[in-house]
Amino acid sequence: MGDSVLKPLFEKYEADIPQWKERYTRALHGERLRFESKIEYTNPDSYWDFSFTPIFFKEQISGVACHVRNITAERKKELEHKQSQELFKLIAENPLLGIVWATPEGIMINANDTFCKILESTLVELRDIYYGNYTFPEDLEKEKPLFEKLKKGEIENYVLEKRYVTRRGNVKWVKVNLSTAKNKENEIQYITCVVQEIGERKNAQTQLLQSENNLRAILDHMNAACMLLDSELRIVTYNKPAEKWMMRYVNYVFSEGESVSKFIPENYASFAKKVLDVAMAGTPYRFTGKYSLVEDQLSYYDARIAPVMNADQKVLGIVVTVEEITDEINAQAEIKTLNQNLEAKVKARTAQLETSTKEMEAFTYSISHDLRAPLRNINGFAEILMEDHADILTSEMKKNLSVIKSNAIRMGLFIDSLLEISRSGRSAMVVNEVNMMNLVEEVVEELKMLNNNFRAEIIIGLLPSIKGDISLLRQVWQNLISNAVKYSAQKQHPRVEIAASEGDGKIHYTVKDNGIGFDMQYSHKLFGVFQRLHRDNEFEGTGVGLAIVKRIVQRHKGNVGVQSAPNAGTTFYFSLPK
Amino acid sequence: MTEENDIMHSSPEQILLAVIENFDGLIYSMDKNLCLTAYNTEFKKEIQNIFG
Repeated sequence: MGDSVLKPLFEKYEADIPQWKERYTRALHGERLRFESKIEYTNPDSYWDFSFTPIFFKEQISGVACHVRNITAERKKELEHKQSQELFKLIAENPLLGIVWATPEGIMINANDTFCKILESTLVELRDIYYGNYTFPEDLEKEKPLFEKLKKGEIENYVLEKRYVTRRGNVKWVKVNLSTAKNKENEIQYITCVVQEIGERKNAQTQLLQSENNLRAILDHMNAACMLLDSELRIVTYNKPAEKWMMRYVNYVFSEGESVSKFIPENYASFAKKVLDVAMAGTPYRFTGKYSLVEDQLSYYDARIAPVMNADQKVLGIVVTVEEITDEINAQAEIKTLNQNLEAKVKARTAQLETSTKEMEAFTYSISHDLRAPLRNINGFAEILMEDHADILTSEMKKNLSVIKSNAIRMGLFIDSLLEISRSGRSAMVVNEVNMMNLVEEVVEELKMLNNNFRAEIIIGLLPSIKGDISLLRQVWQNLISNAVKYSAQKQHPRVEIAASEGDGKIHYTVKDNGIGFDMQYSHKLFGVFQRLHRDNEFEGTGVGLAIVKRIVQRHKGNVGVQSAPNAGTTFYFSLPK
Repeated sequence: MTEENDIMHSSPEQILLAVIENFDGLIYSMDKNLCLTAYNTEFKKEIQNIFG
């Protein structure tokens, strides 16, 4: 035969020759070789089984006998088997799915680890156990008919959500998928059950159901009629008030899925369409509507239409809420009328009050003014008597005349104070920016000049400027600072601190002294006219200074106050809006 | 003649060829110089497949 056949083969696959030559040479040296190899020049996916055997002739090796077998099909089968085994292993070891094999009677043959874990048992404990032994009793009654059908071959498989009772007594929700494995004769060999734990899903379902119930309860107990529509304006759901609303106006209760357009009267259709289109475009809409079911009797409602969007802001539908507001509208109208009446009454009363106040002030001014003349006469004549008739007056008479004179002077001071109060309330206010720092310094300087015995230490802090009437505010500072100086004069080191702070949109000015102070239980008297906490012989004064302060501060829309304790000094403060 | 009789009257070489023809797979032999000395039909077919 020669090499006529192999030669072209060797030439064609020259690269492979060394390894083949090596193997043939080994066989020619007496080695029996058996190996598997792919032969690319036949089919890249084919497997071959090679067997090289030396040929002995007269105890000498004369050549090599070769047996080459195509084993691709065998290899493929082996591979498929291996893959099938791996797949089976993968399924059996699935950490999420429990797998059970049972007899057609429901007796367990085998199960994977996951199933054992679900039942909190070992395979040994579960083997040969009837499935009903670990099924929740109520669920077993539901499952039995299905299992019987499966067993009889009436159904191929079934899926059921049920509860298992584990070895430790825990109840677990599972989803089981049972199917049969049959032989060639169509007889059921065993039953396979795939088990999935659904406890979390069940809990979520329960919570969702509870949440739905809660929302439903809220919806049903709302006053407003509430309706959810889908993107085609079909009713998805509605609450009880909506049911009543429908009965009242159309005498018909719509079912879920029906289009709401039936509900809208023809003359209202274009407006309704516009509103619904706006809401479907993602913008809420609200309006007040009116209608009349009974002649000459209008009813009102408040309607809100809002889009319902998903997480991607896509409009899925709309919520319509309608609330009867006839009573509110009527009440508002009534309140408006009452307010108008009240306003008119207040205006009338205010006018009356203003007139009375003006009259009173005019009266006070007039009286005060008119009293001054007779007082001057009393004082004057008392002085004439004392000067011109001093020689015939007894000392008793002189003393009495002196009392008459001092009382006349005192009464004059009272009248001056009254006039001052009257002026503080009557004068027109000229509001400007007032530099409080400068104003206080001026007031202090004036007080020092007027009072030869002035010895108090005055400490002035930072005082913010404010808008007000400078002459009236000057009066406030004069009264407060002179008071502080007066009531601390008896101290060895009299000290007056003037300061300010800001808060609540106001500036709070304070005048603090280290004087004799007073008991706070009398503080309510302090700002009254002619109210004094000390005797005249102790401290001079008519008792109108603080009344004037209060009146001026109030005219500036501010407020005044005081804090004090006996022998612990006094702090007066007044707050003015910024 | 029966098949048995055929074998009885065959030479050892013919018997051997008949045997290798009935083997599953490719059978061939080579001498020390790696020159083919015998082969079965399967082998021949395979070689023909390779070279068209």
